[in-house]
Amino acid sequence: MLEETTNDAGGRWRKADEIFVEALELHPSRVARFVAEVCGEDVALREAVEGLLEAHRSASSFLERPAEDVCDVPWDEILESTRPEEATDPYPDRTGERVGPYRLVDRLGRGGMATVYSAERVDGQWDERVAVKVVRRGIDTEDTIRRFLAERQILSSLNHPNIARFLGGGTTDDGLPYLVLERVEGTPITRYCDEHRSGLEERLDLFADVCRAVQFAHANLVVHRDLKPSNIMVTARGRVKLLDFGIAKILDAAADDPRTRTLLRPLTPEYASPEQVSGEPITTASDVYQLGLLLCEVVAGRRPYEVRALSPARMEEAILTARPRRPSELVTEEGARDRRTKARSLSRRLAGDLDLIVLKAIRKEPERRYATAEALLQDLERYREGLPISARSDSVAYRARRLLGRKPWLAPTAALVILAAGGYVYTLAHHARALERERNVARAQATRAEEVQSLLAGLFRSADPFTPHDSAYGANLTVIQALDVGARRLRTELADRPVVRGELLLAISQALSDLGQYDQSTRTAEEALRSLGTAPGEAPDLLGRVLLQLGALAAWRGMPDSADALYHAAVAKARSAHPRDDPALAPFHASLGRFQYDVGRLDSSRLHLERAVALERAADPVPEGDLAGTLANLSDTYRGLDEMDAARTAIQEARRLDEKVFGPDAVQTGFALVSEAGELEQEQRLDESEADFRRAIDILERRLGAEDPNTTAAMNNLALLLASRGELAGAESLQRRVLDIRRRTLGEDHRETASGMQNLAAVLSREGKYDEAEQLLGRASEIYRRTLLPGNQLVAFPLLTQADIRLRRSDYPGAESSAREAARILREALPDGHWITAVAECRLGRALAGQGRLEEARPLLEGAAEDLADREGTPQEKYLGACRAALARLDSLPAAEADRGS
Amino acid sequence: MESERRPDPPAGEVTRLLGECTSGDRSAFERLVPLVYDDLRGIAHRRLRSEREGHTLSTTALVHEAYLHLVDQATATWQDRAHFFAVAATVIRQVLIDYARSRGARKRGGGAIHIPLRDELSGKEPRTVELLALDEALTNLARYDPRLEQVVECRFFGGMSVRDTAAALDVSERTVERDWARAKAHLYRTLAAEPDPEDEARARE
Repeated sequence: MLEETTNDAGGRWRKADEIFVEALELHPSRVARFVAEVCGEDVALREAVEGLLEAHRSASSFLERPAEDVCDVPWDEILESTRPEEATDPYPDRTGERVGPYRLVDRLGRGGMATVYSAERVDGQWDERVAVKVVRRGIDTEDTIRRFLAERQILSSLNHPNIARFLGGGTTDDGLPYLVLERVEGTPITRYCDEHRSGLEERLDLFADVCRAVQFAHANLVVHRDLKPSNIMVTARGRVKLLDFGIAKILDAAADDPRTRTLLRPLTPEYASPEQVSGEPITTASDVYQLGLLLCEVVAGRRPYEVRALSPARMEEAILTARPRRPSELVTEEGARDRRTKARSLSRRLAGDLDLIVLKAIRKEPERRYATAEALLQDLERYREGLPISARSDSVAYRARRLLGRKPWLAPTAALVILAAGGYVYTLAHHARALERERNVARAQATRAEEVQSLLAGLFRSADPFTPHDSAYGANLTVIQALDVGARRLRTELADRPVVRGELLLAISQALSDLGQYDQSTRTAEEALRSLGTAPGEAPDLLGRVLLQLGALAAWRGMPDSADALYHAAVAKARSAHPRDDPALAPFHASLGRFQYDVGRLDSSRLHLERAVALERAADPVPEGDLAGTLANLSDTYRGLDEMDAARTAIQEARRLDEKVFGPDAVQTGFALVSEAGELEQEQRLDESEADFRRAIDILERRLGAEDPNTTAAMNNLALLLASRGELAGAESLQRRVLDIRRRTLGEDHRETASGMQNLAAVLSREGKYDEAEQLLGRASEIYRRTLLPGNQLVAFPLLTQADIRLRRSDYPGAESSAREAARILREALPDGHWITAVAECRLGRALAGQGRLEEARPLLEGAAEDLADREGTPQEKYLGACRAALARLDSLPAAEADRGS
Repeated sequence: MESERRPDPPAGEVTRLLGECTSGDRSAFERLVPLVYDDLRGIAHRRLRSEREGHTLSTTALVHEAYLHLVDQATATWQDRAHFFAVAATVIRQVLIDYARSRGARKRGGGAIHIPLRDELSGKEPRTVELLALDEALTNLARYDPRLEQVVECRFFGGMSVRDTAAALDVSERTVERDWARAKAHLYRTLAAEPDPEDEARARE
């Protein structure tokens, strides 16, 4: 047993423990010496420390699984010996009491938040029974009551045959909020189906009703937040009734309180979505998630993960990270019997499309789920009709989106988009330019925030004569806080003037998004939408602008599906408010058009951008700054559509307008020149391209300084151009300068510093300076691995260059391993047949050929040459050349014939 | 709709006591233990009566339910939550040890509850130790450093994450990680030095 705790033993324990803790911090190779040094002659101490270190090494799994897992707590046996006394309920049972116009007849049950009674009208006007939920004492905070009052109106408008009606509410005599709801007599959907032994089709019919009801609520801006079988009843007549719609939000009083944001929510662990667990905002996507779980349970009988039996930490972890099982894997014989079928045949019916539909609905990332309940329902219906479902295309489309995925608010590093292979990181300067344009807009509207603030201040000052005269919010409030305060006050004030309130909220939302406060901005815009919802049809133009703002916010926040729906709704509203050729429509088309480009719908993008250009040209006066922006975006779209002449014309006109609006030496002109230079380079008009780059760098350096990321990006692009023209010395010195600046401004460990190393290494390798190149590549690789997610294609680039160097050095096995790894990463990260992947495969083929493994090399080289064939006439032509040359050598080898013959 | 009826403790009592749980003062903590113990048993009892056959009761689910039941969600902070789970961890330890004792005193084999000491990955023969031996070693360890006992209660008996444990004990996550490694090494060293009861059992046969 443990040593006695005499002073002596206690002293030794402490000493040994101290040394042990210090040793844990040391590199393993230094531990032995350290212990020997500090213990000196004290053999007993040394043995104790060594014993602890040995124990530490052996104890890696000891106690790591919680007691609950390893002991299996037998609660039933424990309870058998000690039955708790049935205590009386210290909470008053309100049965018999009068609450508003109702008398509480019978207590139906209680949850963490409220007690539910069945109740009847006191005046006997209707003999319809209702359910009354009385909020628990302790939940009756001011915030709950405020929220409750705000929600009441919205909920009472939620009129749908499959949603239990919200009939009203108020506060009891002793001040507890209560809600009156339609009383539903029914059975939870899962039990109903099992009891009726409903087949798959009947179950899907019921589920479809659930989706429609949820969709209806979402259209009315109400999120359920707590969808689960016990909230989804089926009546004796087979009608679906959803209970407690939007109630969770009212009860969830703590949800918006920053103090308790990370607190375990009063949620149902089995049906909690990742965002609920992690305290992220709850949106309609959370309902879609819960619908997915419900669908799984309804069709397969079980949920895709079982979290009930897990510890709190592991439960959260499971919800946040565990891979869900497919419905078809969850089928049991018992479950199949309840569906009047056999397990094998049920599993077969679920496998494939239904699996995918469930998996898409319950993705961890809200933006990867179905955008709406309706989208989920549509896929389900397509499945039932035997049509291809949208969930199938998700992975490819998602990857493509990820590849294109631009998040301009991550400025300016996000402006770097990977375009070229061979280790080249190419800056899309026009993107930086679009960004800068946004910033300019923000700056041009810089006073907006303050204007809105003072507007609000004036408004409330006149409304409240007791407010101190000069600053309604105190001088120390920041603009953001003040805007937030304004938005919050607007929630309760001006209720009788919803359009004015909507206009103000929109202004606040825009000011907040200018300031980068996207969450607050979104909340405020949603508030504006609700405000307008209470005045239907009154201000369609304003409604359109609110939707446009929400669309932009959704796009910025990486939720393309929501953005899509919102943008289209915005354009539809705006069209209903203006004649077809009204220039007021231009911003709507311009925004939607750019968004369509971002998500890869180029035809639609062109349609809207051309329309916007036409409208802007027709306006009087022509908004030249806006027109330049729209044209620049249109140029991107044209280039995407491979209409190079149109792209060039558009960008040149944009540049002319920019020069006219901003002057020839303006930063905007610099950006325009970088864009144009990129176009010219792509068309192999290299002299003109180089001249534009140089002029751009000159302007940017003067206006922004050499260390501005936009300037270094332009230098980088020029260096790439020089390298491709074979001017290696010039390229090298420029790349060194870029790397030097990045090291200084961003630090040694920054991702862009790594890109600089990568690009410099690419030049060095072409100059034969292999050692320095390899050293830089190793460093870049290390930084990428540490700062990027696994599977990011950037990780492959140093490997690609390394493979190239090793090929040049005739180190074929080395080249093989680099190229193989690069190809693996790229295949994973990029769409099939991408030319960058082809470059990796070509290098792998060459490495194999170099080792005489011709049979393995040939298909790789042939495939790569095919994938690269469309690069002819572009700067990437050289990769195709290398690949074809390798193939030609392969064919010329006499051994190849023999090899192939065997 | 909800169908359970259950009694509540005096309103706000648990929440108030949780607020008084500070790192130095254990008295509020100790007053919470019986309250949580009773509630857990109460919930378990009702659950067992109402659940369908074949469901095993998850301790975690019970603790979560007790938390929602006993703690005022509107005013509780994240730290209150962590404190609550720490109290529950102590309760679970107590329940398990009482149960293990009732199954028969140590060293008489048969009914004893075992937990793994090491697995195949340790490079040594896998072996287990009795839960009661762990309890005893842990009580001893507390005499040298009481926080090590608390960390083991939270992490092992309560299944709490490092983050939650840090919040409950009001120390940094780094401290929890270090104390966890210390506690494990000390306990392991003590327990590994005892003869393997299974070896003994085999020897007796």
